[in-house]
Parts: sequence; structure tokens; C-alpha cells
Amino acid sequence: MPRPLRSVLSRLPQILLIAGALVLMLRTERFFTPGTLTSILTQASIVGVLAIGQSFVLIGGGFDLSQGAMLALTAATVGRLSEAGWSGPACIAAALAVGLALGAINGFFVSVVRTNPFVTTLSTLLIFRGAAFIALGGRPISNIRVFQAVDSGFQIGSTYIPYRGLVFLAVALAAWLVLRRSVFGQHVYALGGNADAARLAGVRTVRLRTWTFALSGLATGLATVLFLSWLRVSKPDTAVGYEFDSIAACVVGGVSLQGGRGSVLGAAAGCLLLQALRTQITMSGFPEEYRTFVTGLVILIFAAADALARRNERG
Amino acid sequence: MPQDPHELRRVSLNGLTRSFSGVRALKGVDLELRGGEIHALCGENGAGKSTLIQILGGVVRPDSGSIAIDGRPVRFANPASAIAEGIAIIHQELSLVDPFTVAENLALGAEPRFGPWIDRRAMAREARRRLDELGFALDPDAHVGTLAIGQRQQVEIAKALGRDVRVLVLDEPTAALSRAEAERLFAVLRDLRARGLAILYVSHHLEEVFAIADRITVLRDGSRVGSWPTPETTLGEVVAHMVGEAVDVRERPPRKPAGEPLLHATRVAGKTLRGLDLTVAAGEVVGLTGLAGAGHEELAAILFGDASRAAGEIAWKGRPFRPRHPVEAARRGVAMVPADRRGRGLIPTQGVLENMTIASDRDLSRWGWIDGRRRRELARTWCEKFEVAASGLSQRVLTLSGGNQQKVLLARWAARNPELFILNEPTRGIDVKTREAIHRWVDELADAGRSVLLITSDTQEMVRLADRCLVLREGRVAKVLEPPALTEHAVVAAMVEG
Repeated sequence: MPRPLRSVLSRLPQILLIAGALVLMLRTERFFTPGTLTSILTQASIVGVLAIGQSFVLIGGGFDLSQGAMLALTAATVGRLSEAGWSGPACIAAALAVGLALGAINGFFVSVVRTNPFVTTLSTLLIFRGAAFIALGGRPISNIRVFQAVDSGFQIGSTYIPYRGLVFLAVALAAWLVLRRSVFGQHVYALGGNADAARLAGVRTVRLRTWTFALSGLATGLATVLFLSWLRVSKPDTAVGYEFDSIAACVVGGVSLQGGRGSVLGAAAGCLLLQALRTQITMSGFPEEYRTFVTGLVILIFAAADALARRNERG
Repeated sequence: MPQDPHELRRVSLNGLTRSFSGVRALKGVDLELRGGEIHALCGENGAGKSTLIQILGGVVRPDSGSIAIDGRPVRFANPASAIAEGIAIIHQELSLVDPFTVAENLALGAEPRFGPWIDRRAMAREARRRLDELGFALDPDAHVGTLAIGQRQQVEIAKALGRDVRVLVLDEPTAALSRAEAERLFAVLRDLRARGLAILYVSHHLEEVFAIADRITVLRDGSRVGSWPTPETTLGEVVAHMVGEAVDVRERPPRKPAGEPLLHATRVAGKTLRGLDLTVAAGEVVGLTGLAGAGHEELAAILFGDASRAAGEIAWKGRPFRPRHPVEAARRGVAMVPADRRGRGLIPTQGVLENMTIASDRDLSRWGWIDGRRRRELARTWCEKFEVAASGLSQRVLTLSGGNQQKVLLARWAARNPELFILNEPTRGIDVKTREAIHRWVDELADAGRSVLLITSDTQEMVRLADRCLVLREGRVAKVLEPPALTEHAVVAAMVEG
């Protein structure tokens, strides 16, 4: 097959999704209004930040299933601290620190103890979820107001820019720069591409892999801040299934589940696309369950496309 | 198993030719295997033995040439069609399911059934019968993972012979066996020969070959040098045939005298090494070779921080040297290019640029940020220096030819200007032109006062490059050869003679 054709073919699902989303959007009235677009950005921001953290893990050749539960545990911790009278900035610092620490636990097991990433983060998913329940004593903390300041925005002309969306975009850009331009980022790509070769080229692979999981935790800490600024409630069953949404965003954005390939900007775009698609489905008057169905379908199509593209490459 | 002498097989391979990405691995090889005969196939690494086995096993298809069984032409589209013709191949790496028992492994894929269930009693009975027939004292209920390597090989043989096998191919079957286990294997092979099987025995160990084979064929550089009935040739002659005409040592450019000794290793021991002493001086190319498992691979791993444990003392430039991670070795000025380019060298998801600069990224960065312009400059410089044929710096490494892939890996470390270069099979499977370019570059390194530890099973390369060659056997230095005594013949002889 000629090269250009092959590269188009391997991008086919992305092209189809964008085309499909565009067609749907154009057929819906009131879609291209600043209000709708802003709300998509805001709604995408929490899972978006998770997807950015997830990208580091996936590109490094790992997998993090614990993000949703980690968010719940971090939210529970921060909820308790806010009850104890901690200030907003202190609570933000605490959320980031707790996230980083929980992520580092995943990283320690996967890279030092060498447990399988899937099993490790599946276990910590249960552990974090259970710990969140214990920390809350089974009783939700409501009216958490420490992050109130984040739940606003500013006006440019007639367009309202929410801080949450802005944080998401800024973090995506920063993460993209780190992965593309820093020694750390380039080594994460090498780690996911061929860990043994990276080690023999002088990369501290154990340390690096731990960091990818820790960064996923840090992103989860940040997502917790965004989440609490939005809902202001910490419950044991907070953010159930968010890890799947974040992995889905990465897959749709072209981040390879085999490691070594993909871009954070792709993952961010994937997240926005999925959110746009969901908003679309809701606005078209379909019930909630259709969104789940379509999301699952989209992920499967993209995973299959990734596998096919890889097969092509080898042949 | 054929018992009837009329069923003896005759497998003829005629004019087999096969190239891999431009490199000719086999050049019109003829070979005839006969029932009731053990036929040994000898040759140095890269002589074409593995390719021949792969063709016989249906793994690789020949570019030209044909295979005939009892005069009837056959074509192997895949391994299954070779098996269907009664050809069984036993590789160095055995293909057993470790958590299964001996009986389960023997029955795998053809389990005796009782309705939808496996008839375990019949399976055990059948296993017992087959093991008894071969005289193997194995417990059918033992888990394969718990067996010694020689016993596992017996399981593999019993498994292969369970089908209607007429031709048995063994690839380096004694490489991992103890002497007693090897003797037991030979007894089995003699028994199978008496039953009329045609056996192709591929081995480096010439003494074993002379002990067991009826006929010996030597391959060199993808061609057949000749076939002889064992009584009509000698070990010395076979070594001479394997090596061929010696390279003219005058081809070697003269080297400057070696400088200060840099590396001192004394009584180094590990998994395979049993106390090795080594000194490498500045501007010196020291060769290390031996059969698989002789210890040369492990020494490279120890020196580059890639081995978990090692005993003995190593000093590098007068200071103790025991790197625990490759990066520690790299910081002290040691570089290593692994033999397994694809598996341990290249990062397949990335391009020429990233693969070439990965070891230098830190030096090219400030506060952790890579200077992209300097990085591209560095890669461009080395692409020019090594004449890497790539469409651009972003070309994916796996789409490069083997020679260019190797150049990328050499440049990865050369860019850091290390003082000791450990080169592991630097030209294996690489085209002649690149091979010569790499040889000239090693000369340049030595000229510039850099030290090279050359690990190669290519004796021609050894004679062309090494100032001193250490031949290892069973973890110890068996022989040290220096020019003019350093000849291909001498290296091969030191490797294979026990």
C-alpha cells in the first residue's frame, strides 16, 4: 500500500468521528453557541485532567484503573480537612499531595515490586474506594466551599470563560510541552516503546515508571479540586467509572494502549470530542443510557483501528 | 515410528537459496538426509544453519530450490505442512507448557477423550507407553516446570516422536546439558537411528559430532563446503572447512601501540563466569568469544551494569568499578551496543532522531528541557559521519535496513565519546558494505586511543579487528591469542575443542 494512503487509513476512525460529530452538530440547533461550547469545555475538564495524567501512564506502557476511586478518596480527605477549617490554598495543596502519594503507591508496586499494572490498579481501585467510605464514615460531606473561587470565570466580550476549562487547557498544554520537549517526557516515550532498550540507553526505568503513575495521581488531585469546586459534595461513590472515561479519551485521542505512542493534546481533544458527542446525544433528546452505549461503541472502534494500524505497520 | 526398513526416508534439499533484506543467508545448498543415518551439520554462526533448519521446518520459505521426500517434490507452506510430512524439529528453546504434567504435554492437541472429557487414565497410560518405549525414566505426572533441562528435552523428544516422525532435526541439543545428560541423549539418538529415523544433528561441539554422526556436512557463508562420511575426515579438517581461506592479516591497518591499562578485572565470577582475569588498555581492541554460555555475554553485562550479581574485582582507571545500572557505567565512560538490536537496542515506536540521541538527551538539555536545535544537529552530524541512509530524522527506525539500524545504535553511544566501547556482535546479519564501514570505524576508535571490547562469534571479524583474543570456555579463559597466532582456525579450534 502506498504510504500516504496507509497513513490516512490508520487515521480513518479519527476522521470519521470528527466528521460524524460535525454532521450531528450542524443538524442540531443551538449547538454552536458560546454557551454550549463553554459548557462542553467545563464538563470535559474533570475527565480531561484525568486523561492527561492517564496519558503519561499509557505512553510509558502502563495502565491506571484507580483514578476514579483515587478521586473519591482525595475528595474525602479534602472534605475532612475543610471541615477541620483548612483554607482553600491549603486544601488545594493537600489534594495535590494526596493524589501524588496515592499515585506513587501504584507506581511503587508496578515498577519496584513489578506487579501487573492492571491488577495493581484494580486492587488500589478497591482499596481507595473502600478507604473513601471509611474516611467519610459512610456519610457524605456536603457544602464544601473551600474551592468556591475556582467555580467561576471571566468574561471576554459576550463569551464567559470558566476557570475549570482554562485549567484543563493550560494543564494539557504544559503536559504536552513536558512530553515533547523535556528529557523526562522523551524518556517516557522511550520507556513505553521498549523499556529494556531504554534502560540500556541509560534511562532509570524503575524511577521513571513510578513517576508516570505518580503524575497520574497528581492529575487526579487536581481533578479533585475541579470536581469539588463544581459539586461541593464528597461521597464514597464519587466519580465511579471516571477512569474508563479517561482511558476512553486517550484511546479516542490516539494514545496507544501498547505504550510509546500518542499525544496529550490528542487525549484532550478525544475528551472534548466524547463530551461533545454526549452533549449532542442529550440535546437530541435521547435518554442518558444512549450516551453510555455510544461511548462504549466509540472506544471499541478506536481500539480496533489502533490494532489494525499496527498490523499494517508490521506488514 | 517406522520399523520397516522399506519405509526409510530420503529427504533431498536441492539448491536452496534464501535472502533476508538483501543479505544472502543461503546460496544454493544441497543436502541429503537418509533414514538410519545421523547427519551432522556444522558451520560458524551466520553460515546458514538456522536458515536451513527453518526451511526444513516450514518456518521460512526458500527463494529458490526444492525439497523432495523419497523423490516426491514437497512444498512447505507453514510449519504444519512440514509436520505432516513427518519432520520434527527440536529447538534449543523447548516448546513445552511448564505448568502441565509430562503426560499432558505429550497429549497436547490430541488428548484422548471420553465424550467431552479428557480421558486422563488413557492419557497417563499412553504417556507411560511412549516414555517406556524410548527408555525415558520420567514420571508422567511430574510437572514439566520442575524437571531438569535434560529431562525436559526428553519430554520434547517423546512429544515430537508421538507423531509419525521420519526425520528428526536437533538444533544445538546439548548446549544446556550436562555431560551425563548428553551421553544419555546420544544413546537415545543411536536407538532412534536403529529404528530407521533420519536425524539431522546441528552442533558447534565438534567432538560430539565426531562421536555421534555418520556423515558431516559443513556450511560456510551460506554455501555447502562439502559432505563426508565421518571416518573419512578429521576434526582438524572440519575446522579448516568451517573457517575457509584465512583472511589476509596484512589487510589490517597497523595499530598504534596500546597506551595505559584502563580496565582491570580479576577473578570475575557470576552465573556462567568462573573466575576471569582481563586487562584492557587505551587504544586496544580486545576480542572475547566462545560458544553460547561460555561467559563472554555475561562479562559484557557485568561491565555495563546489566547483571544483577557478580563476584571478583573490577577497576576502571584505577578506581573500583561496579555499575549497578547502565547509566552508572555510561557516566564513567563505558558504552555498550547489545547484540539483540531489535529487542534490546532500538525503540521501535520512535524515529532516527530520538533513537540516536537518547543517551545524550541529558547533555543536550538545560533544566531538563532538551535543546531541540542542538539535538537535531547532533543527529544530523552522526547521520553524515556514519552515512545513515534515512529519508529524514523522523523516519521510524524499524523501516531502516539492518545496517542502518546498527549505525543508529553505534551513533547513540559514539556521540558521547566513551572511553570503552563494548561491541556485542556489531555486524551480525549486516550487509558487507556496512560491515566494512563498521570495521574501519573500530580502527579509528583504536587510533584515537579508545578501548574496545569486541564480543563476536564471527571469527573473520575477530581476526580482522582484535589485538588480542580471549577464547572462553565454561566460564574461564581457555586460550589467549595474539597476532600472528590469532587466526580463524586457531579461534575456532580453541572454541570447540574440549
